[in-house]
Amino acid sequence: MTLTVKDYNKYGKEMAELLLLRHAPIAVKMLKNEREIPSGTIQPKKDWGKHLALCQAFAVVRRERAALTMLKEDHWCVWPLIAFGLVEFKEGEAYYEQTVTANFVEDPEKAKEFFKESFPRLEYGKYIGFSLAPLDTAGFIPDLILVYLKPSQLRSMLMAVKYKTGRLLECAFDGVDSCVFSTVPVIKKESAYRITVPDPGEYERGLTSEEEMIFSLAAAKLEELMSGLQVLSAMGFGYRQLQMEMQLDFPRPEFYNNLFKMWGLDEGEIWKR
Amino acid sequence: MAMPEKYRQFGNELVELLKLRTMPVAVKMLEKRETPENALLPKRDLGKHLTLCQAFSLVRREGRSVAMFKEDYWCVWPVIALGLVECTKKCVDEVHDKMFIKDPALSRQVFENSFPRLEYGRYAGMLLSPLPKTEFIPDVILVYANPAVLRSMLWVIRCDTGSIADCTFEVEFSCVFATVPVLQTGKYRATFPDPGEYERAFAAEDEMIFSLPGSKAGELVAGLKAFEKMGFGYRQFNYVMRYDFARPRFYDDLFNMWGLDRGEIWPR
Repeated sequence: MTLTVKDYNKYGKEMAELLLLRHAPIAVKMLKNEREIPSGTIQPKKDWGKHLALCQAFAVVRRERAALTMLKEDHWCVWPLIAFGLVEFKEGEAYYEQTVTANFVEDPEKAKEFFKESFPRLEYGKYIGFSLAPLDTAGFIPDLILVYLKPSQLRSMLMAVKYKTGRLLECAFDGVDSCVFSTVPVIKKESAYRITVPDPGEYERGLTSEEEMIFSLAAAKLEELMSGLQVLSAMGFGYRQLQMEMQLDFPRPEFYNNLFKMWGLDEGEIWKR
Repeated sequence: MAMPEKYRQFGNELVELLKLRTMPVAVKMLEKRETPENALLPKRDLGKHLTLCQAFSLVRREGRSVAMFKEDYWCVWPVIALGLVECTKKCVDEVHDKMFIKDPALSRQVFENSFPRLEYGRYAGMLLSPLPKTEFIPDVILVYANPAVLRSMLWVIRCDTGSIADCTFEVEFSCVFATVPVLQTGKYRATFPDPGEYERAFAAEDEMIFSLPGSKAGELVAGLKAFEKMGFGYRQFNYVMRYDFARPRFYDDLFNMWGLDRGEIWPR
C-alpha cells in the first residue's frame, strides 16, 4: 500500500506516543529540482540570513518543530555537502587530500582509504538539497525518517525490526559525521534501518543530549516498523509497558521488625547492613 | 464538585503537556475500609507487603490501582505518619535515633516536632490510582518529574501566587513528605525521592516528586496551558544554538572554493 502524507503524519504521532518521544521524528525528502521544494519551508540563508550545520537543522526540526529546506548555500559544514553530492569533490583536486586526512584517522594513508571505502556519498549533482519537517506535520512524502531516542527506546525499535524481519540489524558505527551516516546509507538503500551515535559537532553545536542516539529508516519501511511497535505493545512488551520488577518483603533493619511486632504486623528478614 | 472524569482529563493533560514518563498518582485517604473491586490489596492479593514508595511505583509505572491498609505496609515511617498505628513512647524510643541525625537528643526533637504525622486512627488506609484512570476524586496528586518538568510546574505556582511552593527539603521519608504536609496544609510541595525509594522502588536519579492537593489540579493544568499559550510551555523550551559558528580553516577554504559563504576560523 502506498502511504499518503496523512498516513505519514498519523504514524509520526503514533510513534511519538508509543515511545514517549521527547522530540518529533524527522521526515526527510530529497529534492531533485527547485519545483520539488515543499511550500512553506524555511530556507535558512534566504529567510534568516544564517547557515546551519545539518545537525543543527535536524535540531531545529525535531525540537522547534520547524520545516526547513537545505540547499547548498544553507549549509555550514563541509561533510554533508560532500556526502550529499551538493558540491564536486574529486581526488587529485584542490583540498582533497587536506580534507580527507582531517577526519580523525591517525595514518594519512588509512584516512584516504577510509574516505574512499567507508565515507558514504551520493552522486554529485543528483540532488539539489533536501527538505525536513516533523513527521507528524510534514506536508510531503519523505524518503527517510530520523528518530532521536534513548537506548531504552532504541531497544523497542530493535525489537520491532527483529519481530517483523526475523533478522538482526547490522550496523557499522562511526564516532563522527553522524548527519552523513544516519542518512546517506539509507538513501542509497544500503541499509533500511540504521543506528548512529551523534558526533562531537552535533553535541557541541547541535546541542544533542548525552543520552540520545539516532535511529534512521527508509520511509518505505515505516509501515513495517509501526506494525512491529504496535504488535509488541499489544503483547505487553511495548516501551511503555516494560517495568523494573521490585523485590517485595525485602530485608529490613531490626527496629522495623520490633515495631511491626509491637503493632501486630508481619515480621521479615533482617538486613545485613 | 469536579467529577472523577474531570480528574482523568487533568491526568491526561498533565501527561501530554509535560511529556511525563510515568503517570501522575491520585491519592485518596480512606476513613473506612472500602476497597474498589479493581484495586490491588498487596497482602490479600499477592501475599506480599509493599512500602508506600513501591505502591507509588506500581501505580505510576504499571498503571495499577492499589489500596494500602495497615497490614499491607513493609515500612515503619508511613505507618506512623499516616496515623495507622499509635506511636507510643515505646515507638518513639525505638525510632527517634534512626533518623540519620548524629545527636540522639536533637534527633528526638526533630522526630517529635518536624516529622509530619496525621492523627492516629483518623484514616484506615489509602487508595492509589493513576490519575488518567482514577475512579475517585483525589485528596493529593503526585507527579514524578525531572527538574525541567518540575520547573514548569513550579513556574505556574509562582505565577499564581508570587512565590514558589513552600518547601522544606528532606532527604528521607519521601512518601511521608510528599503526602502528609499536603493533606495538612493544602499547599504544593516538591520532594526528593529518598534512599529507600531509590533502592527498592527504583525512582530514577533524575526524578523528583511534585505533589499538590487534588483540589488544585484544575488550577495547575490551566496554568500550564496558559504558559504554553505564551510560548513558555515545557514542550516549547529549546536550546538556542549558535549558527554560523567558528570552523576549522579547511572548511573555510573549501567553502571559498565552492563559492559559498565564509566565516570565522576557530582557535582550536
